[in-house]
Amino acid sequence: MSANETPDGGRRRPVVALLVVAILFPLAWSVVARVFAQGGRDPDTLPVDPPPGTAACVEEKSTMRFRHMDLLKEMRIDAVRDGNRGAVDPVTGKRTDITFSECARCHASREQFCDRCHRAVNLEPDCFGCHFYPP
Amino acid sequence: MDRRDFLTAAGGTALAVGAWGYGVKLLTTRLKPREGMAEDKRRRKWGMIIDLTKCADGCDACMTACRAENNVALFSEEGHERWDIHWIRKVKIQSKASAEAPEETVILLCNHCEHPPCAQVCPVQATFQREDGIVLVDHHRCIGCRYCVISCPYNARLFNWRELESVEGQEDDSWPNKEYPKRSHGVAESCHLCAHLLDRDQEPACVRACRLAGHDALAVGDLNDNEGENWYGKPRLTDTEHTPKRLREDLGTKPKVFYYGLP
Repeated sequence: MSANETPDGGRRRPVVALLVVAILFPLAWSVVARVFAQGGRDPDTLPVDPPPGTAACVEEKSTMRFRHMDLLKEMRIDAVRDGNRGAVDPVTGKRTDITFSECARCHASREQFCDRCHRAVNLEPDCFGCHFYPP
Repeated sequence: MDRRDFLTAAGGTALAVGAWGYGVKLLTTRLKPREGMAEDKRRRKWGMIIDLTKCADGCDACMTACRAENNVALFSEEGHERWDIHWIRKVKIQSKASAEAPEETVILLCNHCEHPPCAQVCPVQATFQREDGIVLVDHHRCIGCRYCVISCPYNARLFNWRELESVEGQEDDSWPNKEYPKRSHGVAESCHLCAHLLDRDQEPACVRACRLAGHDALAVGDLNDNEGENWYGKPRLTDTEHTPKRLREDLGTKPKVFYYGLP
């Protein structure tokens, strides 16, 4: 069925088009604003990298940015439900704990590592009501 | 609808479904596989042995150590005692048979039952029994319905009606142990046998405090291990004259806290 055969003779088409534009406008606007903003996202809202020379993180930086919440949830289930709270390296004898303090060994500041980005995307995760993270 | 429209619509739908499925899979795949509890740890059955004949009157070392380790809330203001949380406590009991019956002190805590009523009634499976027998609350999941508080026959569960807050300008008493989390307002809690320490092959706080106080009344260990190797404290494992008692054995909850010298 082509557009000329609609019951109202195609008079609704501009209305539908306007509706589609109105729905997609916020999405498009965010992309346009991002492209035209100078230097992309405000660097003050991104997590600060740990000082050079610190050990590698458990995952790639991009994975951690995108999915750290999933990883935290998985580690939480492992620790609370299965009691897997870390392991001792058989060679070095060094203990790796599954705690926030382990994150804080490299990412020493909560404000620079967690809060500024959460604030920028308007998120208030509940972690730090109960868990301690150095401010 | 002609053939061209049909093929376009079918192809578009297939593409959309495929992309959706791929996206869902990408977002729900675990980053780290769930391993479950290690085989040697799974075989354990953690329990406690309390020797009341060694427990000293007026000593509160275990209770203080528990508060310091697990950030158990104690409200210091006058008249706010009813909000206090106790994971381990000492109570004085007296037989109703005669008025001259001597007062006895008993240590009460979560009994880590083999058939825990608290875990059975929990509607969201926040309270659960670990494979090694420890009964604990996943506070991330608890919705604060207090079914477990009501169901516990030992009154070991308490509810966080209030949250302990630090007072500005004072030393932060609300959070003595920064390595262990606090609990937020609106969740139930009880003794977890210091599972976070047992998992790291360390001694539970109360056992350590009792040992350091020189009483050795408390012992935590693997009930499957009769040799005393996998135990913290000095347990009375082989006592031919006395049998250890458990609280309210008639209920069939099969507690894993055993008492010597229970009146």
